[in-house]
Amino acid sequence: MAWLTDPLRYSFMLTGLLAATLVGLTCAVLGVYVVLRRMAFIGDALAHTILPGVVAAYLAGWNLTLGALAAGLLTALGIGWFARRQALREDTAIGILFTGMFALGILLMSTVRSFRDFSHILFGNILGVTAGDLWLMAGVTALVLAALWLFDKELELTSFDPTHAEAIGLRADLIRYGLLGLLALTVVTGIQVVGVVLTSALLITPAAAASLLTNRLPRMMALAAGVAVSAGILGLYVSYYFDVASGASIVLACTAFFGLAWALRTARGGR
Amino acid sequence: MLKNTRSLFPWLCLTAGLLLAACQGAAPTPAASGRLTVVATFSILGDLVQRVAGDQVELLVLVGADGDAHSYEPAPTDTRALAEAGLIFENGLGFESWLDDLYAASGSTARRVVASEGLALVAADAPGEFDPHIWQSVPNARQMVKTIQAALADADPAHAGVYQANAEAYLKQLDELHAYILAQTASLPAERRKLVTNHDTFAYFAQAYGFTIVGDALGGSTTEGGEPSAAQMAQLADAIRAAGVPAIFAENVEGSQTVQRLAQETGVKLGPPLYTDALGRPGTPGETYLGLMRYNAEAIVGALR
Repeated sequence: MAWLTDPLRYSFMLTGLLAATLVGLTCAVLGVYVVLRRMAFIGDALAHTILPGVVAAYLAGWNLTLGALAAGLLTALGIGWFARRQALREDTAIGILFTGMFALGILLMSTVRSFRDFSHILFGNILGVTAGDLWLMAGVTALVLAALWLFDKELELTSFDPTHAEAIGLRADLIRYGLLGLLALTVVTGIQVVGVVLTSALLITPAAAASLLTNRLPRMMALAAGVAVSAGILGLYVSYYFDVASGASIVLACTAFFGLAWALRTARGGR
Repeated sequence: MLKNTRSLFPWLCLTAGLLLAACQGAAPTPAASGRLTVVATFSILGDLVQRVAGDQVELLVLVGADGDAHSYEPAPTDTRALAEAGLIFENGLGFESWLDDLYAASGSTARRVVASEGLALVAADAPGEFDPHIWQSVPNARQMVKTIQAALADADPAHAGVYQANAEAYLKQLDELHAYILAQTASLPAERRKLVTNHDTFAYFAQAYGFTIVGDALGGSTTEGGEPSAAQMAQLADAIRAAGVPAIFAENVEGSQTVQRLAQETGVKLGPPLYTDALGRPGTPGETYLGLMRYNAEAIVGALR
């Protein structure tokens, strides 16, 4: 059992494991709705749109995380707005906003004339998570879980049967804004762990794995959370023992769990 | 619809052809002032060139203060600068990995002067490669100044006398700086002369002033390597504890999150950020090479004492 406790001698491993657990939990639970509503692209989009917020905050000397949050929420609102008007399909709105925002980020970065401080945004740095970051992650986790618990009926109805939801007087657009807002918060914390490029994996892969094994929402969420948290822990141990990048290890662990779920489903005769 | 698209095709071909012709017609233009136009790839080298050239040349520096030459992305103005240059100063040793492409694309015919030529080099981790951070030792800078002087005199013989006088005056200042750093570091007991920095930049400093490099947070001589794995963090934390390093240092061109985390982990002091691959912005102690080296030496000795 020494191999299990040996890495825990280091405080950066403890904070890393805690961060992976918090972020994995939030991403997985919210990810179930992302997968059910066929919004898989959104995690990637929100992660990329955070770049201009971070760079602008850096240039103005503000807190980088707050800049990220502002950019993420702004994009979430923008996507909701364009899609609400029905003038554009949601995937088109996402495609336009996310590339535009990412390009703005790169343009701002080129005014600094160096990529100083930004590399850990692209690739994540779970081993550099500070106590302040942990508090933010815990706050986001609490908020997301509370929101899902309070509004689970509304979310479930609008996800599965939007027409019926409208008929009984639910404001589907308000719920969509709320969900997008929660996603923006979650993605900002996900970037700390695996970076811009891989954040959507935390959102989608565990939820997709869970959706292969069950149709019942509470069970699906529990399974997804289990997958995400185990993948986080497994990935960090792999990074420790095999000397490889931690963010990529975590994402690949998620992918492996998805493969396992697929095999299980096939073995059970589910096609 | 299809017909419309087809009828567009000749126009597209014509536009593309015109654009191509326009690109090939672009030729380098001489500097308006008639002075020699010189490009230096990054701020520290630019400062050395400026000291020798004085106001005889038009100097353009590509990667400016606080900029990171390792992860630099050139802009169109840089291509134009190269095209118009009469002389280009570079560090060499793979420090400006983007320069070869930029030089070819600019169509420049200017002579490229490699400032690291003729120096005794420290081997890097990869076989056949050398540590590019040569300016961290003042004797190296001395040699670079001589290379710069020779190249300027060669390109602009009319002002050779000015370049020589400027170089001699500056070499005197470099000698004083070297003596000062030697005196500073000599006041530090040998067992405290241990360096842990963000990326691997202080090999020449360590060699010239008698320090041991215990390790670096990013695990490499460039800032591009991404973040360290959990295994690398653990090894470095162990090495810091085992060597009894009194303090570790961040740097001016890269974020310090990993170094901060390491300081927390090991409980050692986090020293002030050192100037590594670029001058500081105007108004900071590191705005010149002389100021940068003096500041680094004082910061290192102060934190390790």
